[in-house]
Amino acid sequence: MKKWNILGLMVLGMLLLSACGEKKYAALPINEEVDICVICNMQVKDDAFATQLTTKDGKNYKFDDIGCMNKWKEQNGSEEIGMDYVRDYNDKEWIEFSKASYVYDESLRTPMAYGMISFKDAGSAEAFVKEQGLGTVLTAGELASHEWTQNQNMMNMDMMNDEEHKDGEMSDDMESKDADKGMDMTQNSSDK
Amino acid sequence: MFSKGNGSHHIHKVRVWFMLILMNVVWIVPLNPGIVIASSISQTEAIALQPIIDQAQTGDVLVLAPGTYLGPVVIDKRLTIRGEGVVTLLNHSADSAIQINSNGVKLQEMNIQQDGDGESAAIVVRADQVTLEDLVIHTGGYGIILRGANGGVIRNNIIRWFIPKGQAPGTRGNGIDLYNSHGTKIMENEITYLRDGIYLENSRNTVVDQNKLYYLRYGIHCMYIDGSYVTNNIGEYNITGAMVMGVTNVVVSGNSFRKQNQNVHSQGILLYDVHTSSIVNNTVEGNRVGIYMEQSSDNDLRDNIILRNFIGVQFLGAEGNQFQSNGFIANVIEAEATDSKDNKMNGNFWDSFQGLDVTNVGTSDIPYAINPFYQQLISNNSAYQLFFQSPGMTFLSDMFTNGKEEWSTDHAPLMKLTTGAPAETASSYGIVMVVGWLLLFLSAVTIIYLGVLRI
Amino acid sequence: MTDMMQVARREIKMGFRNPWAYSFLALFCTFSLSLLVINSQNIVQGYSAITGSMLSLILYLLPLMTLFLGSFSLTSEKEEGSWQLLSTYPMGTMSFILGKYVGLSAVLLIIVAFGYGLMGFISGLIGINFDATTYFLFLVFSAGLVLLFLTIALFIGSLSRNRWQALTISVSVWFFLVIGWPTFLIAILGILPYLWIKPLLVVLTIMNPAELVRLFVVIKLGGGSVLGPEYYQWVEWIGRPAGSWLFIGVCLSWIIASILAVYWIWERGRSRG
Repeated sequence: MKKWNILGLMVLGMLLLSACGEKKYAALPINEEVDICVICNMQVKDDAFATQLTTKDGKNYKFDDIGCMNKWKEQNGSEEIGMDYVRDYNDKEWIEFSKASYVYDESLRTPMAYGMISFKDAGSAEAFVKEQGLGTVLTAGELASHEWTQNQNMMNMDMMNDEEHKDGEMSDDMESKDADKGMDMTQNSSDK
Repeated sequence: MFSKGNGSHHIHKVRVWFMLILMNVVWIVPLNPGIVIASSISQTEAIALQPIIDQAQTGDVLVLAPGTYLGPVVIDKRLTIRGEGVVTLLNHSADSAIQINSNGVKLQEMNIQQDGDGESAAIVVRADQVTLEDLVIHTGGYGIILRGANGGVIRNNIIRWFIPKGQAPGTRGNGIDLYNSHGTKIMENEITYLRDGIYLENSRNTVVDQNKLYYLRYGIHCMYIDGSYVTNNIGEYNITGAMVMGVTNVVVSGNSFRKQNQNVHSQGILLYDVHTSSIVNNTVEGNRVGIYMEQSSDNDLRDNIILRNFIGVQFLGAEGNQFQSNGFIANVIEAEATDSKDNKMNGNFWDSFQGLDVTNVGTSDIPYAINPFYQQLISNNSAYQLFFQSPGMTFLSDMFTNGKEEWSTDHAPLMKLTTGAPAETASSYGIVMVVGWLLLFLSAVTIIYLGVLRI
Repeated sequence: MTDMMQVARREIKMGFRNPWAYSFLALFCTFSLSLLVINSQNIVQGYSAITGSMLSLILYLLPLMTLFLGSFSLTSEKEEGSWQLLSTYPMGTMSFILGKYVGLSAVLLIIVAFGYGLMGFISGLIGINFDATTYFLFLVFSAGLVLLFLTIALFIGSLSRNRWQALTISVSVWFFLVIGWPTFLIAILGILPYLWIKPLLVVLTIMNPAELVRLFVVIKLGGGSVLGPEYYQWVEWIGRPAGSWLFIGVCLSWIIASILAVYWIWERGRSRG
């Protein structure tokens, strides 16, 4: 038994050493089968909203939204982070968090409704803003002072995910009236 | 609904008019009574539906004769469209089979087949007070999408994911997908094989009642739907039965979520960032985790039956919740809780717990404390999940009593469960008896022959 | 071959005249039956509290029983001088060891079969819902445990001089592999770098027959998802029919390797006289 253990340990040690020789904090591919957001527990889709970070001791955490990664950093601090990655909105390439450009608009739909998307350079971010006619371009540094809010009370419809039709004819008045009514009902039903 | 205007006069007119059209096409369409949704009828044989809609007037009731129709269609006036017999609407285009842009539209008793996958949907509703009833939808992508559509009714529909003939399986969408659509009633639908069965975002005061949800990613997935009701739904074999996130004042009651145990993150009901809501009278059976609650406070969890799950309930950072009269039966691990203080726990029934009721009041005088050791261990490194319920692990957990006064504790566990657990029978237990008898007989004979008789 | 069968037959006869065998049989039956009776309202199927506690019970009992019976059988050969006698015969050491292994396996498997027979029979009589697949899985689980731990027992028996030594070593090995295992591993792995923990844990688990067999049964019972995201590919693999063959392969290599080791010990002892 003992000999086996020692042998096994040696083989393993060698394997590990060879593995350590590679680049240290490489971005890992998203596996939709098992990856869930560390913060909000939702499945991490292999899409442009996915983000990840690897701590200095090699633990990897994945998130479904930049906002969730930000929340993790708020809770755990940034000292232990080896590298953090976001993805380019257009080609899903992993980019280092600090080197990416960001576009924020509250009407942008992201998995946890933080409304923040990432681009590999300022050029493509500006192109996106120009094309959509909305959003603000931010740098990674500016994200630190960004107020991360989840958009829960959207009064105007966004068109991010519906290519079919741009009809914007919903009257805002009606919408907000309905929302008010909703609040009343909420209060009525709250006391179980 | 329909009494406005001259609609009722129109019914007959439209019908007659419509029959006339049919006379013309009836020779082209072979009326096949046993028509199946995914039939191979080509586009040329189907009747285009849009011209028929264009001819109708606001308030009309269109009754479609049996047959196959062709989408996509846009409905931009108040109409009621009803299928008579087997009516099938095919849509091979990337657009939605039906787009509803006018308030008060009703759609009833039709089959709809949407070939497109990904973001494409069988029905897109962008108007209020729309009714969708008794529809059978086969879609490669989404089923029904509501955008800024308030007060709708979606009742008794069947929505399934399918792979159009001769195509590779596409990306599945959600069965019923609501965004910014308040006060919708979603009832008695059956949704299978899609991504999320019922997805609700920013849609307050929604009622989700008596739906059946099988083989989906999340049966019901909701975010920001304050004041909604999720009641009496049945979910099986999904990754997660009900995923409730970012809500206050929601009622989750009478649901049954079973057999969500295949995925490493499966659970019956997940509550994340849920506040002042009630989760009562649900049954969670045979899931990986029965009820998972994280970052949630001031909720009322009561009278739930937690049966045969790998982990009954799991709390993470759940504070100030009421957790009372729930029944725990035959779970491998009953409960795990970390960072969950100030929860009012009492009167739950824990079947593995040997209580002691000296005062004879029906509750035990010995409290039941939830040992957080395993959950703490695996939160540091999930590789240790290999030790789940290993005999040595239970031994180690029992030795770990550090800070016991901080553990989530049921101070008055129930001695006996009043409501009976639903019984299930194994199909093949007769075999066990026969095999058992055989084994017993053979081994006894061998023992006697070789051991007792000294040959 | 005939030598081996000779030894095996002798072993079986001695095994069933050994009172230890019957006391373990009684213990095993009592415990498994009481577990069944406690849970008589519930169906025995899949991975649940009942099957979970049955797993634990069997893990406590069967390895200990196997270690005792197996190691005692070897030390008694030495103590009673029958090995000295046998050494003078023109019989290969391998035949002797294989014979011992086969004979002892037969004794232990018959005890297990009796226990399960009784369990199945009685659960049928008192109307417990016992799913057939689950029942067979438990049978396989117990057989696997017995066969793997028997090789360790032979090891212990070979290394100990007398019965008392064998008893002490058996109890410590049992405690280490069954009860202390997670404690030791967590303590040792805790000081290693994070990235080493998972691979080491996997290798060490394969080395521990108790954990190896337990995890196989948990996965086959459908409980693989509790093992978490780190092992989901393994779980998927073992869940398939080919996974059973993999498991049988691992067990066989385990058995063969340890029998060879035992052979080497005895051969050395024989040459030294």
